Amino acid sequence: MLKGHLDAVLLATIGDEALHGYAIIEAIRARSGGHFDLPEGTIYPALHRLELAGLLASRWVQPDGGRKRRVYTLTDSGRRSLVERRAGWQSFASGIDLVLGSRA
Amino acid sequence: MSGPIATYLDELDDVLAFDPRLSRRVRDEIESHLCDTAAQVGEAAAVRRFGRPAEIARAYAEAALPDRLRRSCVAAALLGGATLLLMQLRSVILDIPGGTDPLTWFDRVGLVAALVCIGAAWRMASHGQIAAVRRWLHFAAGSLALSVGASLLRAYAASGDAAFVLIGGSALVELLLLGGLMAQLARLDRYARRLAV
Repeated sequence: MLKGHLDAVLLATIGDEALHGYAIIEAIRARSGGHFDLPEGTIYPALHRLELAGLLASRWVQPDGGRKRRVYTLTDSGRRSLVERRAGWQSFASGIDLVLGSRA
Repeated sequence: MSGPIATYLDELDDVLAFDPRLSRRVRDEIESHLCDTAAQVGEAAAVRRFGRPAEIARAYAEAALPDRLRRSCVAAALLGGATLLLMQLRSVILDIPGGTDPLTWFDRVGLVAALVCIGAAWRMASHGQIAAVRRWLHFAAGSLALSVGASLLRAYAASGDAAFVLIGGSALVELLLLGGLMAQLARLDRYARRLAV
């Protein structure tokens, strides 16, 4: 279901925060009300791809007494990309809504 | 560490062996994730939920492919450029004119052909076509090998001359540069094998 939209979902989920992979998956699950229960292994290669594309940056953090984790943040291009993807999605969704809604 | 997570991470290491740097990065990150999940559902379930190592490795190979192609082409272009510079330097120092003997001809034509092939590989890399990039880089390596072979024969022919050290030395450097190109190709071949699984 998310195919083709995974990148936008990841960028929007990270937003202005610094999140690690596990937290991103949990956030997607929570925000979607459980609709998007993504296969966990698919998220990390996607995060890696977005990082290589310059849309995300990552760094290791280790809180006191906690486990070392790689956290992801949006880069400036990531923010710009998110704005464009949001606009694209809203335009697409309103178009679909008009088509599907017209028969209701 | 032992148990399902450790076994899973070892399997992941094996299937990510096509890129050792990526493998190290992935292992640390995924270990952290699996430990978080295992705290909720247990190790066996955490591993099951994450997916088969071969599928994860393939997804990583696909994710890293555009960057890998770009790096290979940049490295090939730098190696080709360095060889051209070396050849020009040798010509200037030795004051070689047009170059009519067959070895000089093979040396130059081989390098020009290699540079053309690298250019074609670069173009294909921007379209993410790994098979085409590999094919052009193989042609480039073959052409460069022709050029290096001619350089080595010229060095052999010049043995005893004052120019021998310069020709022989630069031919050896060209041989090293060719080795660098072959190493790039070997990396790309490992990616291609993983993507074919």
